[in-house]
Parts: sequence; C-alpha cells; structure tokens
Amino acid sequence: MNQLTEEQIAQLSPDTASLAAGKGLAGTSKWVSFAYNERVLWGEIKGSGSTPYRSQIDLTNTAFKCSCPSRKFPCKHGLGLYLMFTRNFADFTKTENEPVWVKEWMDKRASKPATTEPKPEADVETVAKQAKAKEKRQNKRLEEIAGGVAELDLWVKDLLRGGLLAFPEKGPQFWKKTAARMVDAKAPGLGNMVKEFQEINYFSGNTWQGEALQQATKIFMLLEGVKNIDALPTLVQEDVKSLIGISRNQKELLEDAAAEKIKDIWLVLGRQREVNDEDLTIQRDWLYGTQSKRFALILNFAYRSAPIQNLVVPGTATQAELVFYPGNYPLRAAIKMVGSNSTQFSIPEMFANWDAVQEYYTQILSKFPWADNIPLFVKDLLPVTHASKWHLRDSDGYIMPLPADFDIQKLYQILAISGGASVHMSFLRQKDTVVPLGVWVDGKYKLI
Amino acid sequence: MADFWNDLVNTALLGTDKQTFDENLLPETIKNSLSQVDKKDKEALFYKAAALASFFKKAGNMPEKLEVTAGLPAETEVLSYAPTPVISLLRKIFSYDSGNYALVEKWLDEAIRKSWIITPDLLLVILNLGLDKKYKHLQPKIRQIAGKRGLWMTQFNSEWNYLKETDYLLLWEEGKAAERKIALEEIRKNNPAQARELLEKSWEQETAKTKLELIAVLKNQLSSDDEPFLQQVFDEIQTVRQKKKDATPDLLKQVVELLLSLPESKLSQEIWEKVKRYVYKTKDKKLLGLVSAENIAVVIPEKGDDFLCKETMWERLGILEESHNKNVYVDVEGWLYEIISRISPQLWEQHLSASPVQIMEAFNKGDGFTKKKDKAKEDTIALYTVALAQAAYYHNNTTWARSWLEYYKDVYTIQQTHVSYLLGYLSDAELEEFYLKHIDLSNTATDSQRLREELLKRKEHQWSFAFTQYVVKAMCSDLTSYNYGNTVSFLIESILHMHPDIVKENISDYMSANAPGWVRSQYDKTIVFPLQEMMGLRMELKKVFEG
Repeated sequence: MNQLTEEQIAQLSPDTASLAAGKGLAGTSKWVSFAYNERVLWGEIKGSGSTPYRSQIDLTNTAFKCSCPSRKFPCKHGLGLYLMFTRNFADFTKTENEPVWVKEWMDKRASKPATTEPKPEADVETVAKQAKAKEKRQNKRLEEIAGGVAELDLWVKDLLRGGLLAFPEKGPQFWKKTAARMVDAKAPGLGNMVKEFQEINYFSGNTWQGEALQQATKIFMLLEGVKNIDALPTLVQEDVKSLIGISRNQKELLEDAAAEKIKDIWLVLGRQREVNDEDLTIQRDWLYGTQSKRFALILNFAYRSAPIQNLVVPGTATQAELVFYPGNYPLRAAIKMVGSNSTQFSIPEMFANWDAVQEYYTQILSKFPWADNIPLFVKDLLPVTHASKWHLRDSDGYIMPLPADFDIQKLYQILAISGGASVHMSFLRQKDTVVPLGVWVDGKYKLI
Repeated sequence: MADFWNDLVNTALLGTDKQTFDENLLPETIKNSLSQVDKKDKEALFYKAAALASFFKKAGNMPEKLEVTAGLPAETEVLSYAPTPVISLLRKIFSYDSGNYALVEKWLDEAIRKSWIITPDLLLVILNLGLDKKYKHLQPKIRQIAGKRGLWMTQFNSEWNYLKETDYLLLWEEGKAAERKIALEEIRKNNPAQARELLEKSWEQETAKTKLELIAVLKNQLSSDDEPFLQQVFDEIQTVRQKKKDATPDLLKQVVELLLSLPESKLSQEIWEKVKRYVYKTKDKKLLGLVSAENIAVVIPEKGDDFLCKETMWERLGILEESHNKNVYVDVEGWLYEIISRISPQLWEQHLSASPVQIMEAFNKGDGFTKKKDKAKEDTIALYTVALAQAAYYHNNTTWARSWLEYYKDVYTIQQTHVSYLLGYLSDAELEEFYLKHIDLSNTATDSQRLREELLKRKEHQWSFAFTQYVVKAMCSDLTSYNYGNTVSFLIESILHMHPDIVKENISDYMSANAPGWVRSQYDKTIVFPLQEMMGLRMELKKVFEG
C-alpha cells in the first residue's frame, strides 16, 4: 500500500480552494464511515443531498472517484478523505470486506489500464492514408500561418531597426496586440513568444537589454525555421511546428504506432502550475525514467476551474508508459499507461558538477536551440550567496545563480533541511539560472 | 570573452537604422558561418549573427568559480528531535486553518518539558510562525525548540533574530524607540534598580513621547526605591506646567499614578490627608438618646474646596480636567472618584476602624449628588463603589477584591460595573461558582467579551463538565452574523480548558431554537465539527507526549 504525505496530496489538488475545503473535511467526525485495505480507501460523508456522498481512492494507482456533483477533480471529498487517511491512519479500520460500490469500481479498474486502451493496430494502407491526411492538414495549416509569419518577420525586424532602447516604454498592450494577431494567424506559439517580452523586467538591473535581444533572436530563428521548413531534418521540422503551435493531438500521438514509447519507473521530480492572463492553467510535471535515464515533461492545460487529471503524483516513483512527442530533443510526453506508485526510490545517477551540466546543456542546445527548461540532477550542491544573490555551488566551487524571483521561502526550506550541508538536487536549467525542484536528504526525496 | 555579445546588444539598443554592426568584432568561427549569408537584409544578417553569437556564448559560458568558502554548517544538535508521532501531530495542528494557537502553544510547552526540538522539515514553518502577529508571544518558546539549526538559520533572515539571546543593555543604548522599551522592560524584570538608573540617566535626552512610554515600564516591580526619581520628575513637571499649563498632561498623570501606587510616598500621604476629611465616623443617637450607633459619613463639598478643584486635580496632578459626562456626575464627583480609585483601601480600614464590608456599605449608602438629583444617589454611589474596586486592583489588595465581589455580587449586577479584573482574585472553583451564579456569558450580555477573556487568562484551569456546558451553551445562544466569528474563535481557543466529555454531548442542541437559517446550516460545520476535531487533537497531544 502506498501512503502519500500531506504535501504530495496537496499537489493533487486542482486548486487552492479545493485543498482548503478538503482540509476542512479531513476530520473523522465529518465522515459517516471510512475504511481501507491494501488497494483502496473509501468513505461516506454527509453532503447536501439525502444520501451521503461516496468517495473512494485507488491507493495503488492514485485515482479518485466520488458520487458528489463537483466538477473539480479530485473533489474536496476525495482530498479530505486522503488527508484524513494520512493524518488519522490509526483511526482507520483495515478490512477486505469492500462495499459493493467500492468493489465494483476497483474491479472495473483492475480489468483495464488506467488510460485509454490503444486501438488495434491499423494495416499498412490505413497508416499510410492517415499519415498523408495528417501531412496535408499540417501543410494547409502552414499555408494559413504563412501570413502571420510574414507579418511577424517584418515586425521583429522593425523592432531591431528602431532599437531596443524603446522597449521599456512599450506597455503590455504593445506586446499583447501582436501576440493576439499571431493567435488570429493560427500560430499561438509565436504569440506566446511575443508575450515573453512582457516577462522581462525592464526596470531593474542591466540584464534586460541582453534578454530582449535573445528573445527577438529566438523569434527570428523560429521564423527562419518556418520559412525554410522543407529544408530541415524531419525531427527539427516537428520541433518548429510544435513551437509555432501546430502540436500533435494527444489522442493521435497515443495511438501512433511509430511514436517513441518508454515503459519505466518514472520519478516525478516536481510540478509547476501557473495561470496565465487568459485564465489558462498550465501544469508541468517533470519526470525522470530510472531505467531509460530519460527526462520527460507532462503538460496539462485547463481553462478556468476545469479540472486537470493528475495521473502522477509529485515526489513518487510511478510505473508508467510514456509516449514522446517527436522532436530532435524529445522531452514532452503523454501518459499512455500508468501503474502503481511508490514513495520509496533510490537516488538516481547524477551529474557530478556544473561542468558536466554545461557539457550536457550544450549538447541539448545543438539539438534544440530553443530549449529553455531543462531538467537535471547534480550531486552535492550548496546554497551560497555571492554578490548579494543566491547561487548553488558545486563540489568544485563553481556556482550557478538562482532566478532573481525565486521564492526565498523555498530556499530557506532547502537551508533548513540541509543545515548547510551539500545536498543532491533536481532542478530546471532556465536560461542562465537554475530552479530547484527537489532535494535528497537522508536518502529521501523532498519536493521544494 | 563575451565582448562581441555586448557589442551586438549595444547595436540592437540603438537600432540598425542608427548604428551598423561591425562583423569583424565577432569570433572567427561565427564570422565564417556568416560568410555564406545574404547581406542585403541587414536586420536578418544582424539576427543571424546574434543567434550564432548567443549560442556560441551559451555553449562556452562556464559557470563562475566562487573563491570564498561557504559558511559553516549548522552545529550538531545536543537535544533530541521530537519523535515522529509528536511531529506528525504538530503537522496536523498546523493543517487546521485557524484557531489552533492554543494547541500550538501547548505542543511547544510539552516539547520544552521533554527537552525536544523541532525536526528540520518543520523548522521553517515554526520560525515563520514566530513572525505571525497572532503567534508572536510564542517567540520565547520557539527559541527553546528551534535547536542549533534554528539559531544557524538566523544568519539568513534577520527577522528570526528573536531566537538569539538579546543583549538588552546594547539594545537600550542603540535600539529604536520600541526596541528600547522592550529592553527596559526586560532589564526591569531582572534588575529593577538598574532599569530605573538607566532611565534616570537618559531622561533628559528622551522625547516627551518616549518619556511617557518608558516611565510606564516602572509599573513593574515598583517600590519605594523608585520614589525619589518619580518625585523628581513630578517636581520638574510642576515647574514646566507653571510656565505652560497644557504641557505634558499624560506624563504627569502617569507619574502621579506611579507615586500613588506607593502608599508611603510623600504624594500619597499628602493626598490621603486631604481626602480622609470627606469620610468619617459619626454617632447617631437613637431611642431618645439612650442608644448611640456608629455610622460612617461620606460628605463631599458640593462646590469643591482647595483640594477638589481644577487647580489641584488637573493643573497639579493631571488626573482629570472635568467630568466626562456631566449628566451623570459633576466635576467634584469625578475628581473624588479618580482619587478614591488610587488610594490604598487599607487606609480606609485604618482610618475608620471598620471592615471592608462596613466601608463599602457606607460608600453605598452615603450622600451623593449630581446635577440631576433624582438619579444622583444611585449613580454617584455606584461610581464610588467602582472606584473602590479599582483601588483594590490598583493596590493588588486580595482581601478587598474578594470582599468587593462578595458584597456587591448581590447588590449590583457585576456586568454593569465592568470590574471583571477583580475575578482574578478568585480560585478556579470560586470562579466557576461565581460565573454560574452571577454571570451571563451570552453574546448579547453586557461586558461578556471581557468576562470570557478573563476565563482564558487562567492557562491551567480545567473547567468542570457543568461549567463547560454553561460556557458552550452561553456562547451558542443568540448567534448572529456580528458575533459568529468571535464565538467560533473563542470556543476553539478554549479547547484546552474544556472538559473532554463536552464533545460527547449533542452540541447541536445548544443552538437557540430561534437561530437563523444560515446559522443552522453552518453550525455543525463551523462549531460542532471543529470542536470535536480540536478535542481529538488535544487528546492525541496528551497521548503522544505521555507515550
């Protein structure tokens, strides 16, 4: 049986309101009945209806089900039940005698994998037809995008002609307007790159000039890629298409026999969640395959309060089969099948120092020049301050800075648990900085 | 190394319309790669150069080496970490969003008693807890459970310096106004004479505002040793006020109060000599002069005199300028009230050779007056009785405080006289009895907020089951949107005092029958369940620390 920590359960919550409500329901007095066994945890709680809500949690594969009408997933009852299980374990009765409603759900789950069963493999002719149709669709989309690409090409050159010095005076509307035009031109990826100009801090320090030039260059490079797409290697073409916003449909990807699939025990190194100015929640789960030694990014999106289905739990090792989106540096993946998870796992092999990281980073850049979030591990890192900024120092004395906006409380947490001793750490290499995701202390992985 | 990149940035800043980029400044490798690029489109050429330069820079950009050594790691702990169940319990307590500080404090007390310290994973939470306004009073306790690692953490955030031993003398010398007051308070606790001497030395340099704040520190452990300094300040103020009448009234009042707290002080003696004239014994002849009965007369000069006058009461003593509410009491009564409330009640006993009850009766029956004669007696006398209660508290006179409660509980409604501070002189059992008989704790009752707070002041008081029922019932009656939040907070705060069996009761029945619909729908969720949860945590706390 797998028992998650409160922090891990919190990571499963679709939003802070659900978590707060779940915490409020995590007391034994609120539940009419509750019990568990090795595979499932269940409980009944009085709701607004005449009959209690029935909430159940698959403990092996971390899945929730509740009879309440909430559109949130997991709902507050599921979160409350799981939190209560963690907090008040001793109060729970262990029984193999599952109620019918629990047994039915669990038996049904046991009879099929956690995610969509792949369709039977199509014959060669059908596959060829599908591929041709797909290519046709994509070419049509590229034609549609061509207008936007030409417009952005002019725009980015105009920016350079006029000089970057004017950037600080340009308000958010300036960037938003062009980004919106790219969305209209069916190239939302280009729009996102334009919006990234807004994220540069033009009013502090003297790094914005270089960052602005890098961003403009990044856009220009992509535009050149689109214009010359036919001349690029197939996988680079995929990268370019993905960057401009022609991404593969996840369902198609999961059914694609030719797509790269890896079954592995994946360490879920961390989760990042942000809500952009269009109310779109973007959730990134960073994974590492213990046998394949591959990193993966699981991206999920949700508008407003729509739920995100969380198949993996940060801070655990999960058996899963991932299907990678094609690319020259395949990182983004979709989950085809997910199995049990565990909070017990050994420390993976790590880079010894920043020197080794730099070598790896350079290799990635040579494959995928737009890379901006690269997950990594390094041994024996120590948080230190240098020139009034926080850095991570490796065992050879070399340092890498943390982003200026890195949450200082997270850094304090690293210091508190490490006590000034060096720790193994997982992080994202972001531009010239590193963003910690988790640390190993006394052989245990702790999320940051 | 990256000069070429800076050159590119500088060109981009000015714009390619104003400045041309010199390709020759680029490293050879980049220059060679650019040789095949069409150069007619200068912006495209620039971007391509920038793209190559950017990757050249990124690929070759080695991390910086830090020559200085990192700070020392945290020292090894001497004390043991709290065991896992104890830490898990603290996590549970923290996971409740509100009203858990009584349990947090209890947890800290128990951990300190066991000489345990917090584990590193919860250290940050507990350090930040001490910064929360609601938990600031727990700082000395957090200091004891933070261990050496907690102390080590202070180097990263000065807000956590509360963990360090403070050099109060240094803080007194160099701190800001608020810090200096804290320093003086701490010094006064351990060495009253030193605190007074420090204040005496710096007195001339202090501002009017800091003088007022700092002299109040002397209230703690006040003794006759402080009188010369206080008298000196009093005399100085008299000199200043002769020149400027409205100068430093607050400071004057504060100094007078301190001097009057010392029954042997010159000022106390002087005032007593004046005031005792208004209360004296008389002999009334009864039964045709055959029997004479002793009475105590309270006779107040209606128009005042050389003592009960503005010149003395306001200009000399800074006590009261005039009546705050002339419809209820006139200036003379107001002045006398202020004086009685500062005079040691023991002096009345000696002066009148009477017991506290006899004296109180006299004050209660004596003649009083106000502009509205109809109401006068009752209001005026009630006024002086409250003054006697204040005097008992002011001079920490247990006999008088207890006598006052005993006598007046049946004469006046305690809640009308706002003297809840006297309840501190009762034992726990007496207090429960007193409340059960005389106090209405319900939300709409007068002074109920203060009377509830009085209950929480007794940290170790375990309420009997009947008393717990009484409190919870009172709190759950008359619930409205104005008092609901306070009620919930109070009940949760009281969890350490309550009898554990209260959660076995059907608390839902305690709600008033006429409670509004929204109260009915919220009641279980916000009152019954939290009480059950908190009681469960309290019981678990007992178990894990005993286990």
